[in-house]
Amino acid sequence: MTYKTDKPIYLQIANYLCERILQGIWKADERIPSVRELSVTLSVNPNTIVKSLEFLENRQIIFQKRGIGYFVESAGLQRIREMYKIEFFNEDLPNLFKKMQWLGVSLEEIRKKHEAYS
Amino acid sequence: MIKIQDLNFHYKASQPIYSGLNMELHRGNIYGLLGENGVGKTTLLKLISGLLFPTTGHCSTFDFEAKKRYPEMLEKIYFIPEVYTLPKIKMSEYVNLYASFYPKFDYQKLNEYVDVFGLSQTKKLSEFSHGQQKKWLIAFGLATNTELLLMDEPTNGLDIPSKSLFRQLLVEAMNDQKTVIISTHQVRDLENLIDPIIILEHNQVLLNNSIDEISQKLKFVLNEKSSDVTLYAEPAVGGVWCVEPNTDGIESKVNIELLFNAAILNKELFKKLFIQN
Amino acid sequence: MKNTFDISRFGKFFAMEFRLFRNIILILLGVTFLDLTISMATFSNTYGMLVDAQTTTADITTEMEMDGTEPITLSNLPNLSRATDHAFEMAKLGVNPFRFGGAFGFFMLILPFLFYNFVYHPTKSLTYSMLPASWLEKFMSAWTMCVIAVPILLFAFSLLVAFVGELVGAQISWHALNLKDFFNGFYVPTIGAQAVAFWGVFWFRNKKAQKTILTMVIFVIAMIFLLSYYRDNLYFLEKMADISRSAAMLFAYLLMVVLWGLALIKYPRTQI
Repeated sequence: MTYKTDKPIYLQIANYLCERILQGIWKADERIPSVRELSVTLSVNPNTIVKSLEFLENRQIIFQKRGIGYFVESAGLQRIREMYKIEFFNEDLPNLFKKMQWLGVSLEEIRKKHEAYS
Repeated sequence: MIKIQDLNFHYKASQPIYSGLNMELHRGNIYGLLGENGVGKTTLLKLISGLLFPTTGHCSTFDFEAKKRYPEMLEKIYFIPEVYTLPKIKMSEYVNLYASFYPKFDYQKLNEYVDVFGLSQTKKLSEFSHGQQKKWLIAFGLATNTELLLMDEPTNGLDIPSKSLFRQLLVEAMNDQKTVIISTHQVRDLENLIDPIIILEHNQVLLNNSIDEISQKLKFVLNEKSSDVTLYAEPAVGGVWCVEPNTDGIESKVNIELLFNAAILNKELFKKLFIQN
Repeated sequence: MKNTFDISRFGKFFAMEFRLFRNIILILLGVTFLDLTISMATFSNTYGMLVDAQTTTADITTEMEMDGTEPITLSNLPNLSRATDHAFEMAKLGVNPFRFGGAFGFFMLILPFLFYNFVYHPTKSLTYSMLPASWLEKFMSAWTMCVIAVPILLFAFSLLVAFVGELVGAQISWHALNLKDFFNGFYVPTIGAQAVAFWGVFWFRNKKAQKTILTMVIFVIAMIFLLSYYRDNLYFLEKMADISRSAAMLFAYLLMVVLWGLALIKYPRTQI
């Protein structure tokens, strides 16, 4: 039975923050916006923001300096890539393979498309 | 911060609104108060603010008996009602009359809100349209900086741009000393803002939990079709949205409308899952 | 402290109410002005002669022994009625700005309705109830407004108009302005009757039937007050004298205080 869920908001926000770090908008050891600033920008309950930040802190992507705010870990960018890689292998790839099976697409076709892409 | 114990309330003895209600609400949260029409949401807000008295039982707000209406308590509460009549005076006069009763009133913030909402300084409040009057009450209410803000259907009557302005202003004004209780049917207007969610039903509380706790116990899934364990199902593009017990630890986004419908259809289960600890 | 009386907050609340009622007060002043100017313009001595012709002077003069130096006590109550008769006697000499039948008296009577009618509306009364002030302060503000402040304002205004009127040639019965007469013969009975309105507005917030009956009773009393001036019919004057006499006795100080007390009790017990 195929099913789909929407990601919880706090995860969606964590993704948003990671993307900005990936894009280089916030670099290593740079301060990211505060809970308050983020909740206003995104129009989201501050408690949810806190949960997102705790999630990222647990994965050592950001760290907290008491009284000042949250900062990007020096290895943060790397850890984000690792985290997304795991997600890619655990979720995106199986979905791709399922579709390939369903549509009858071969690996060879994929390789050719990839060459054209790069 | 708000403690309700064994509260009974009725307007007419034959129709009790609350029997033996127990509830606790804590600081630093934006509560969403949901319930079907006529279930007693406004009544609850009035009990908390001391406008109505429990028939028996207690309601204490900030450690004061709400019904005593002590000024010390009233200073910390602002109530934005659903229905209101504004006097035939200008905004500035209204501020002169009432703002000084609220010790933490922020005049600068009020000016910002008035600008943002685009309210007229020269017209009388009674001449404002319904939506503009609501915006005024929201602006004034936020500016009072009270620790408890009670709002009865705040987005009802607001135009689309103002709904998003309201969200931003509310979040901006929020801090961990303040508590906001929003009674509403317009759940989509307040998505991602309200957390915890309270669901009231005739004479009982079905839910008083954070989004986090809810998503641990329930999952919201788009399936091909519903199953035996589905608590509530709603057809949608691509399948059927189902609310089911979260037995496999799936993290899903809580859809408040689905949650509400599921609660109404599974009252006993919800009470067991969420209320009886 | 919890629900005690904070004088500065009371002052703030009172000032707020005064500003809120400003428009109503201006209208009251305007109508009082009209009432006084009309009566000053239309006063004639024939009024006085009519009173003489139709009442035995003896009835009036025997009761006129009052010289205004006796203190008023419960045992002295009949003095109140003499005071009102005395006022009538003085009325023959000119326009009395402070007579029962005038705008001043009428308005004083219905002030509680004029100002506090909004407590009937569940929506309008919400702001009033939620404003941070103790119910004692709110009550004292309402009481001061109806019993002291607005009457004094109307009184001073009427005096001013009378002064100016006299300069322009109107005939004013300054004898009627004996303060003891005014106080016992006019102010106390009117405030006593007002106390019924005051009590009614707050007691019957939600009970439509009693409210309507009370409104009708007050309206009838008020209309008699009013009509008695504008009708040259002595029957009404006598009736009014009777009513005011019995009203003065009925609404003795004690009852008045009881009614205020009942209104006060309602303040912390009212649900919206």
